[in-house]
Amino acid sequence: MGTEHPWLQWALDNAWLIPVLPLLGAALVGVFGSRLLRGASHWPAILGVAGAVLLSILLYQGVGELAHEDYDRTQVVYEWFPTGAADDLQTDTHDESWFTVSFRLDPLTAIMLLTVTVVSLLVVIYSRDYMRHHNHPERGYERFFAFMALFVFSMTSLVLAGNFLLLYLGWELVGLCSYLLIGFYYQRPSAAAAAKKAFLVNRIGDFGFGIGVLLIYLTFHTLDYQVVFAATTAAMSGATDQLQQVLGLADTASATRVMLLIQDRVAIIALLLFCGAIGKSAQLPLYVWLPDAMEGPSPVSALIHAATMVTAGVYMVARCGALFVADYRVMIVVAVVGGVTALFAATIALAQYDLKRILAYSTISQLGYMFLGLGAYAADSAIFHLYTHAFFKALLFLAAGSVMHAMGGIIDVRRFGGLRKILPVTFITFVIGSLALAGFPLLSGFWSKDEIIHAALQQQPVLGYMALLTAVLTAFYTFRMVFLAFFGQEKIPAGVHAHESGGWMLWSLILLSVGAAFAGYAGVTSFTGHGFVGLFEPHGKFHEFLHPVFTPFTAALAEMQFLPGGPGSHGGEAAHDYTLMYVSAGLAILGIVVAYLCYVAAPTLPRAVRDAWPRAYRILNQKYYVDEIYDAAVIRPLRGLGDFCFGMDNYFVDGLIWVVTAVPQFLGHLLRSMQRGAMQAYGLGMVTGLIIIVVLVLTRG
Amino acid sequence: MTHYLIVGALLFGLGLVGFLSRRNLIIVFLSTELMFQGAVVNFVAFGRLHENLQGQSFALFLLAIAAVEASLALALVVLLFRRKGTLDVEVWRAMQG
Repeated sequence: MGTEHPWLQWALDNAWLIPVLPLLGAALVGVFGSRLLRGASHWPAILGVAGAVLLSILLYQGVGELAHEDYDRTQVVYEWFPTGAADDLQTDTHDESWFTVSFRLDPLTAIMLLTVTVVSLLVVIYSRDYMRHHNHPERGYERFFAFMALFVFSMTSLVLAGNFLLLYLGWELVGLCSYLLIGFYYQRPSAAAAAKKAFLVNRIGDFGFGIGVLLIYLTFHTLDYQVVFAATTAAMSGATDQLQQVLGLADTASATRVMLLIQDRVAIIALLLFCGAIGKSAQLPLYVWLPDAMEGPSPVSALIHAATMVTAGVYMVARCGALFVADYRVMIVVAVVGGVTALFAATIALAQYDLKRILAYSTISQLGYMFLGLGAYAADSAIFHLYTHAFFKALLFLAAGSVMHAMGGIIDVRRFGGLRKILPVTFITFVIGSLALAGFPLLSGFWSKDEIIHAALQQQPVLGYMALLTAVLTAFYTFRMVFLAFFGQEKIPAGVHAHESGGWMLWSLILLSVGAAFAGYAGVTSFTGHGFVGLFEPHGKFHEFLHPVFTPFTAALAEMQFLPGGPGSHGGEAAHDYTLMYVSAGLAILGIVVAYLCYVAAPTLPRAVRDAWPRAYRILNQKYYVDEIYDAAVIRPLRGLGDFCFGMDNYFVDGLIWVVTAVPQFLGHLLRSMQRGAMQAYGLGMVTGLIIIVVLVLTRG
Repeated sequence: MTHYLIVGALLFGLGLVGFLSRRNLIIVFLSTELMFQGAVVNFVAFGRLHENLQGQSFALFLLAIAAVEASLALALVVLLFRRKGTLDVEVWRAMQG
């Protein structure tokens, strides 16, 4: 590794501190929180995460100075446990191999770390006031901050991981933390149920993910990213000598065998990994946990939606690009799942009234965009969208939390309105976030979303048009929410003393809204700082920086352009460049204007629409009855099976046991009457026995 | 020699009868002590018969043990008395099956 700057070098060498600092914070709060720190429990968490932010910035700078060859290197922190060489080990050159705790330091990691830690820091700072009421810490204050810091630890280790084992570890830790935090108000049955649901639905996806990781090990006999990716690339291009060198194989014959094996399995592996991504990143059909996850405190939602959890799936697919691009059908699956989820979730969001739930569906929809981008070979755009989305979605959730705080826990947009005057800062920041989400021109969401739509139109025109439709819907439902909550007649639920939130909350809102507004410019300014370069080609600094990581995507795309009739040959390049920008800007504004017409100018219109198509409204409001379908198709049969097993256990097995135990019990019952508790009776018995023995001995002897 | 053994047997027999028939906890306890001493007399007698010191030393040990055991047993009796306010053995039948 080579950079001249000592500080940057130090950050590169000590990347392990990034997850460890929040962990330390979590441990401190966990150990001393309830006795010593109490109301000051936020400090260790904030300091821990702030340390991680500083190191991430240094790391980002350091990575920027590295040579591109260094990106592929895996930094081993320590050797964890030996693999215990398998019998059919094809790699016979190394005597003993180890599962290691290793990091991969490249632009993707750096960007993810920066996004995750910065957003998390602001969320944690915000929580300091959010988790207090009238300046008294809420019950479980220290527990909350311990889990938040633990969440950051989990996500940073997931992102830093240099092999699939560590990735899986972070993956599961993130799931655990989400469970703990969604169920933060565990006294509430709905919160406990939501936490359980999140955990179980995630487990379904993780099951596939786990099998995928195992299959990787069985195929490659290593879990190291570098080796796996290099081997896949070599195997797919048929370069046996390269494969032999990467995997350290003995001869060409075994290299050919392994190559065939990899070619055979790579699509399955990618699909299994994608299963995990579907669960974690809440895509169809495993998205159901995310809307329910709103039961946790608002900062938790912000953390889950923006930084630490749902982005894991997108990150993983981008990271494993080499595996995913190996089979173009897998990429189509990714794109279709993403595109359909985006539209599907956006339509549900149209008919919801719970502020946070609308945001949850918008997250699902935006994640759909990211997967669409990945599936359309625009991984850099997907990560770009992830990065801008982190800012504005965290902002929106925190602002919604601020509204909720002011409204005394009420979040139904029908029960309040016209909050513009009462909560001015919240209002302004919320509007900035909404504009960014809606893709309003020149705000961050606009740049990233357009790139994805552009890529989708080139790869899969149908999905591209669906994405455009989704963009209109997004703008509409976002501003429906804004207009309902902040415009119109001032309306406050009875008995609520509405007040603007405390300073810690407002400052993090303001900082995040700056991010939401301007984060997108990282993707449009040229690398050398020459200002606006253009929307799509060439990409800005952000893409330039990420480019070396995503060579699998670009290489696959370049290869496909030459295939006649291949999936890449649709659509003309020239038709799109700036037109699309105007089109999508127009669509975003159209959505906002329609929302204005419906909810401010002519408030009777929505009711009329609803009455005109009552069935459509009901289906949307009930979220396509997906929860009910799952209930009928999965939960009921499982419960039936459970009841059957319980009955078997209760009546048959327990019956057998009853019979077996009844025999000694009956014998005991017979003998029990002899035990009277009268000491002297025992004495008499002893003497009688003694006399009998003496008589026997005397007569026999 | 026989006389010694007769004294020992008498002591043991008296103790046994007392143990089985009396109801007062302290008397019951004293009866067990009586049985004890019957055994001790026999030890000494046999020690004399075999003309060695084993019987006598064993008797000394037994006395010491009897003293320790007596203190323990009396302490228990005191506790039991505090609980129920009576010394009747019949009261303590909690172990009845």
